[in-house]
Amino acid sequence: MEYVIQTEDLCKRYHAFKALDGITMHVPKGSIYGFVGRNGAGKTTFIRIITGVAFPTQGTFDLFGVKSTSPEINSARSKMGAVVETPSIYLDMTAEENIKQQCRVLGKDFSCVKDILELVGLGDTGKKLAKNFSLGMRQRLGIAFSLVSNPEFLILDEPINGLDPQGIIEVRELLTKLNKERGITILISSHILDELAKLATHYGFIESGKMIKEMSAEEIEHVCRRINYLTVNDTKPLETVLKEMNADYKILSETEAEIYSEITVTPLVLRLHEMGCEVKKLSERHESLESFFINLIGGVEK
Amino acid sequence: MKRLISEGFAKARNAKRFWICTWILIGLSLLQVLLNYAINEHLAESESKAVLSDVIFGMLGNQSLFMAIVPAMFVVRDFTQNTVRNKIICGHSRTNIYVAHLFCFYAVAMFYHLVATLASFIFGAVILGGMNSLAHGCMIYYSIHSVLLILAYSSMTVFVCMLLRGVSGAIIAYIINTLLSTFGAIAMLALNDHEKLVDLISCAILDMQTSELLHGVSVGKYPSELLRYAMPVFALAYIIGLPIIGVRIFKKTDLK
Repeated sequence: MEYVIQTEDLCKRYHAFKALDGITMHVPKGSIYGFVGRNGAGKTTFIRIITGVAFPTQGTFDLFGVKSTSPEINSARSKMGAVVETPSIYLDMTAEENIKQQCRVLGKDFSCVKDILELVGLGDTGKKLAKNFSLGMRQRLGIAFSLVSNPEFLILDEPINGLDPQGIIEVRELLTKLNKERGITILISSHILDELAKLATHYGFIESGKMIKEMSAEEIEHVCRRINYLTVNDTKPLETVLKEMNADYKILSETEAEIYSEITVTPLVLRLHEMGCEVKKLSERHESLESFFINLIGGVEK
Repeated sequence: MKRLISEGFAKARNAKRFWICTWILIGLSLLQVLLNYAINEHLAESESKAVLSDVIFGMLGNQSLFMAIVPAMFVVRDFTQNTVRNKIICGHSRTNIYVAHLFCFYAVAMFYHLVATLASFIFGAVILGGMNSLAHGCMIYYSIHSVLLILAYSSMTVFVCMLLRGVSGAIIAYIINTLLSTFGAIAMLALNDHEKLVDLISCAILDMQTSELLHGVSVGKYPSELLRYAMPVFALAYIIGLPIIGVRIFKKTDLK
């Protein structure tokens, strides 16, 4: 598999505090990589190192196959766009002037300005200054900034933080479009895991500066437990039947239970009927990314 | 680098603050000429009156103040709004970023110097007269020295702003010359008996060099032999040395 970023034992220390502790990450080309971790886990520090804003205390990374210690790293970075934490924009300029400034920085003509602004939905902002933009508009302008270089790889640090539901949908649609239509590899760090689950094709879970696990979305899908949720008139006969069937379960109340192991529904229902237990409701759901993450972190903490 | 410089110039061109400062400089140049004219009017015939040579570089002392306003545009704003990140992320080296800031700063500072000197020359010639007061041999020396001083002030301001990377950078840049002059004056008092050391301290402090220059232009004389060569050398040391140190520090600094 071709990777856009590969890191090796990347460390960052701030005096005695280890912000990154030997992190190893692989971002496959063409993927949307969800970078998941709690506040202070080291996500932003990692992103700042990759983008060149900060330096690692130890370890290296490869960006487009170029070592971070190589003098070529700056030209490798020219194929990258990023929004780190808050969007870095000129607040006293319009959206168009902002993009033109970035065009100057990149030595590009202004022919792309309109297209980029249209793409991020800021084509009609006219003379409105960036300081008067809503949070969502600023976020989109930040993304527009990072698109000027026509990047092959986009890094977004908490791109949907503070956005309203409409803004979240817009950013999600934009990112999906960029990934599908332009083939841009995207690394997104986020806390909003349900939202990330709608986008990501790969995941990296970070805790206390360490990469706990890297998985593809399919692997997560496979690993996340299926839960059968049952409502009955009495859970005592249900418990007896589940014990007979060697099922993994949890009684939630006198009328509710969750079954974690694979079960065949018909024999279960027939056996319960024999014992005079009435099944009122049976539904199946997947363990969410959020609970998977919590279990994973819990495991690390133990 | 060319791209970064073009971006910096575009920022200056479009910034109201840049043009406001230009007009204020012209206004202040006129004001200092008018003040000198008003003083002249109250002086007795026997007393020496202010002429063009007394005002031509009169704005030089205020230049550092205006330079502390400009970095807010070029340097500090790049850090407070974090737009410096965009430059690093898209592959510009930190050396290029520093040098581009410095170059833009030099250009703007020289523009201000030119505007202030030209305005003072025109207003001075018309209102005060005394064109022949500039016709002494050391005018070329002092003109070159004034350019070196402006570049040295610029180097120092950019250095402070790149080091502190925030509004505090602009504030420190604004007061640093006053601070250095104060400490310099204390050191000069302490070393009163060592004439050469006192001269060297006055060379090392840009505000003191400015005073020497203003005095020299006014009286139409070169400074002492030591100062005559040491002042440009110290100014050059600021111009060359500070960017080298600044780049080395900036290359190792983590940004926000």
